Amino acid sequence: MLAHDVHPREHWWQRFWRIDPWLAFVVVILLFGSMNVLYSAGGMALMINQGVRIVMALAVLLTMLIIPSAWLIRLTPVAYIGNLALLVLVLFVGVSAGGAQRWIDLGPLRLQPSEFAKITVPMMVAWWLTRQYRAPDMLDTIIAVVLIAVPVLLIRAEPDLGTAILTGVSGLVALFLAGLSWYLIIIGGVLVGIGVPLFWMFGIADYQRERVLTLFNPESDPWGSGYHIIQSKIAIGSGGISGKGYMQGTQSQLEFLPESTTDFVFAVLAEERGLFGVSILLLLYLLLVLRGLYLSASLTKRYARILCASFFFIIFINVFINIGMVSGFLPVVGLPLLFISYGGSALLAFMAALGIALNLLRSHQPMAEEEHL
Amino acid sequence: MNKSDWSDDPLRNQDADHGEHLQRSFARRAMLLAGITIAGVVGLFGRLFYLQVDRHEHYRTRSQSNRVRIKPLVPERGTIYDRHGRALTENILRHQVVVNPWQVDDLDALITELGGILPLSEEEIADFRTRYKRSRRYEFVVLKGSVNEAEHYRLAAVLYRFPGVAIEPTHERYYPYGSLLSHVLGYTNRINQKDLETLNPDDYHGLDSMGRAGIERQYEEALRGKPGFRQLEADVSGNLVRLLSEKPAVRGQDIYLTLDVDLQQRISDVMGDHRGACVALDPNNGEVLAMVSRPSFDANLFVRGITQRQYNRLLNHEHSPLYHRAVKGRYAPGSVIKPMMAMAGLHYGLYSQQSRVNCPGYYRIPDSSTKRRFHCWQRSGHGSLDMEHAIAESCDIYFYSLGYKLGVDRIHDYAQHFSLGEKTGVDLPDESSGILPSRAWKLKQHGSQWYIGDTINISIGQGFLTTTPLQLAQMTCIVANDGIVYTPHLLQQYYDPQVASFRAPPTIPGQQIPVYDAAAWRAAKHAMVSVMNSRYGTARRVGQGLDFTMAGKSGTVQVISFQDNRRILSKDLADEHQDNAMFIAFAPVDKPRIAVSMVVERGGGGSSVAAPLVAQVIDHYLHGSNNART
Repeated sequence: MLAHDVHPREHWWQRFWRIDPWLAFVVVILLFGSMNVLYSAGGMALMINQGVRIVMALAVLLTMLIIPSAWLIRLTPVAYIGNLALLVLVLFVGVSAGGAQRWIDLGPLRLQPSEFAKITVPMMVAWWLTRQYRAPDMLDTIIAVVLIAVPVLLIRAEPDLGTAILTGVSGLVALFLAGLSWYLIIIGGVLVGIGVPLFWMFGIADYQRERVLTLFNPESDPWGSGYHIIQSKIAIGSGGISGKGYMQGTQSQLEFLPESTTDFVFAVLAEERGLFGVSILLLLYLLLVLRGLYLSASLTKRYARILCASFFFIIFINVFINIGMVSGFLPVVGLPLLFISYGGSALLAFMAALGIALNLLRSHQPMAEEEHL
Repeated sequence: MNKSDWSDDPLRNQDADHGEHLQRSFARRAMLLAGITIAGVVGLFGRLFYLQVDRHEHYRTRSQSNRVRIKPLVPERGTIYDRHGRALTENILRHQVVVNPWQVDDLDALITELGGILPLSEEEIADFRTRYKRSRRYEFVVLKGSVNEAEHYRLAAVLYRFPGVAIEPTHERYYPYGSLLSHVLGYTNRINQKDLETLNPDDYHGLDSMGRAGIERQYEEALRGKPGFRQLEADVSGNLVRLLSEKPAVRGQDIYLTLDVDLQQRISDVMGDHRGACVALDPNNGEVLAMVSRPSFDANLFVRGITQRQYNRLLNHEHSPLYHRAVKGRYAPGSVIKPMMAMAGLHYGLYSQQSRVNCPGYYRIPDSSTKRRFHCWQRSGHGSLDMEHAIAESCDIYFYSLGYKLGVDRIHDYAQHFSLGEKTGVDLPDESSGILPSRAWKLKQHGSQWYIGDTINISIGQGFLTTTPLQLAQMTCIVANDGIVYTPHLLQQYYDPQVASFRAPPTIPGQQIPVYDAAAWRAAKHAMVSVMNSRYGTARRVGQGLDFTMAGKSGTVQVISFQDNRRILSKDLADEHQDNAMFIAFAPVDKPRIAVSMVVERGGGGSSVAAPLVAQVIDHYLHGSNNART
C-alpha cells in the first residue's frame, strides 16, 4: 500500500540516476551555450573564469541533491533566518561598489546574500503555508506577506531594486501556488494599482526613474542613460534572422555594447546568432520551465510541489525581465540572464535552487509512476 | 501535527478529499503559470521578431554607421603647492609603449624583436604577459611604462613593422623633493583589481593611477579632475579614422598647503640621522607648518609601480620608514605633559601655585601596603619645590603626588580637552588617536582594574598613556594660545582651473577650551619659560643666546619599543636601551607664532638632544626671510 515499500532503501549515489533527464539536459546545454557566448563577448580568460564558477555551482547543485528531502523541509526556517541575518550584516559590514552595498567579503570569495533570498523566501513561504493541510486563511496570508516583506525591504535598502523585485515576486508566487484565495488576489491587485503611482513618486531613486523615462525615449540622452538601450537594440536588430556570425558582432566586438558579458549578454547572442539563435534559447528556457511546472503538479507533498513550481516560474520571470530590458521594453533594473551571464552569485543561487528542485522532484516520481499502473 | 504535510507521516487520512481538492487547485494554478510562461515567451519572440525582422534594415544601417567609438581623455592631476607657492609635485610627460593584443599574432616573436630595439627587463615582460592575458579586445596593454627620447625615436622609425604596437603620451607624477615630503603628500600608484571593484568607473575612465596615502589620498577627488572623452570614427575593423567630437578632460584642482618646505627641509636637516618625528603648527590658526617623519622613503619609487623586492625592503626595514610617525606614531609623552598636569592641579584646586612638595628623591604611595618606591630622575632629590620649580626642574615627585591627588578620572577628563586620546582631526588619512587611559579602557583592554600605580605612571606621562607627535604639538598650541583650540590642518586653499579662481575651505573659528583659567595658563607658560631661561631650568643652556623668548618642556622617556609588535634584535640592544628624547616648545612667548613638538627615538635626554634641535627649528622659522613679520 505504501509507495515507499515498492522501492527499497537506496544509497545516495544511486539516487543521482533518478534526476529528470530533460531538465538536466536543458541546463547542460544552457551552460555550454554560456561558455560559448562568453568566449566571444569577453575572451578566453573570462570564459575560463566562468567555467570555474560553473564547476563550483555544479558542486553546490550536487550537494543539494544528496541532502535527504526531509532535511530540506526541516532546515527551511534555519536557511531563512540565516539569510536574513546575512542581509542585515551586509548593511553594516558589506563591501560597496558603484553606490550599493551588496557583498560580504570572505577573502577570495564574495557573497551576495540577496541572491540567496530568491531561494529562501519561497522556501519559507511554502514551509509556513504547508504546516496546516489546508489553503491559507487570512492570518496565514498576513504572516506570509510579512515573511516576504522583511527580506525584500532589506534588499531594497542596499539598494538593489532588481533583486528586491524578484525576491518579492518569488515569495508571492509561492503564496499563490499554496492556494491564496482569489478574493485576496483581486484586493491585492487593486492595492497594487493604487500603490504603483505612489511608488513612482516616492519609492524609487532618481536614477531609476530616469532609466524608466529614457526607456520610452532613449534618443533623448544617447550618451547618458539611453546609451545602454540604444546600443543593445542596435545589436539585436542588426543581427537579423541568421545573425552576423560567431565572433563577428560589430556591436559587441567593437565595444559599443556596454556590460556585454553580464546583464546585456543576450544582445551579443542576438547579434551574432540572429533570431534563429535566440529562438533556440527561448525554446530551451520554455522547455525547462514547462517541464518543471508539469513535474511539480504531479508531486503529492504540498511543500515540494509549491516550492518546485515557484522555482521554475521564477526562472521564467528572471529571463523575461532580462530579455525584456535588453530588448528595450522593460526598464533596466540590473538582472543577469540566468545560466548565461558572467557572474557567480546568481548562478550559484539558481543552481542551488535547481538542485533542491531536482531533489524534490526525484524523490516523489515513483509515486506518480505508481498511479499509472 | 500529523495533518501536516511535512511531518514524516503524511497523506491519505480522513482529509483525503481535502487533499485532492488542494492538489487539483494546485494543478489548475500551475497550469495558469504555464500559460503565462508560454504567453511571455511568445511575447518575447514577438518583440525580437519585430526588432530582428521588421526593423532589421533600420538597425543594420545604424550598426554600420555605428562606428563612433569613445576614447577616454585622461585629466591631468592637480599640482600640490606649499604655502609660498612652491610646487611639491610635478606631472612629467612620458611616452609609453602599448600593444593591442588583437593585432598581434605571435607574442613571443614580438617581444624578442622589440627587445632588440628597447631594453626590456624580465620584470616588465612578466608583468606585460599577465596583463596581456587579462586584456580585452581593442584594449591596449602597456609593455614599457616609459621610454626615453633615444628609445622613442629608435622605435618610432621602425614602428610600421609592428602592427598593434603604439607609443602613447602619458603623465607621470613626480615628487621633486623626494623623500622630504613622502609621508605628508603620500603618492599615487597604479589602480589595481581590488580598487576597481569599489570605485566609480565614471570617475576613473582611462585613469590608471590614484592617490594612495597622505594628501594625495585625502584630496584625491579634487586632485583627480574629471575624465573627458573623444568620439572617434572607426572603420568596420575598428581602426580609428576621424575625430568627431571631443569633451575635454577637466584638469584636477591645485591644492595649496599650509606647509612651508623651507621649514620642513630645515627640520629634516637638523634631525640628521636621528629617527623620530617633528610637527610645527601655527598656534594662531592651526595651520601645519611642517610635519617630518624620519626615516623616510622616496615616494617616486611607488609611482611607476614599486618592485616587490624594493617594497619588501621598505616594509621589513628595522626602522619602518613607511610609517608616518608624526600622525601615527604612539609615544609615551613623558615629562612634556607636566605643564598640563600642573594646570589640572590648579583647575581642581588641589594645589595652588605656591603649594610646595618636598622631593626626597623618591615617592611612596600614601596609605598603601606596598613599599614600592617611585624614584625621581634626580636620585638625590630636589628638596622643597613650588609649581614653577617643579616644571622647570621636571621633578617627578611633585607630579606623583599631584597625580595621586587628582586620580585617573580627573586626569582623563582634563587631558581630553587637550585632544589627547582622540584624533586631532587633521586632514590626513589614518591618524592615530593615541591612548588616554581610563578605568573603563583598562578593563576593556587588559581585563583588569585600575591600580593606583597606573595613575602614578601616567602623571609623569608614562605607563599606558601614549600620544602622537601631532597631538603633542596640538597640546602645545592650546597652552601657547590661551586655550583657544584650532583643528590642525594642511589645506590652505584650492585653485580651480575651470573657473580660474582660488577657493578656500570654510575656516573653522577657534574654540575656547572649557577648562580655561587665565591664572593657571599664565603660571604654566611662565614655568615653561623658566625651563629655558632660568638658572635651574632643565634646558637652560639651549635658552641662552636666543634673541627671542622661547617656552618649552623636555621629556626623557624610557621605552622598550615604540611599536608593540616589533621584536628587539640583539644587535640593536644597545640602541634600544636609549631613551626617547621629547621636546615641546612655542615662541615668541608673548605672541606665539610657532608651536613645535619633537620626538627623537633613542635620542637620549630631551633637554640635551631634542631641545637644541627644536631651538634651531624655531630660530630658522622666526628669522626666515619668508616668515619675518613686522
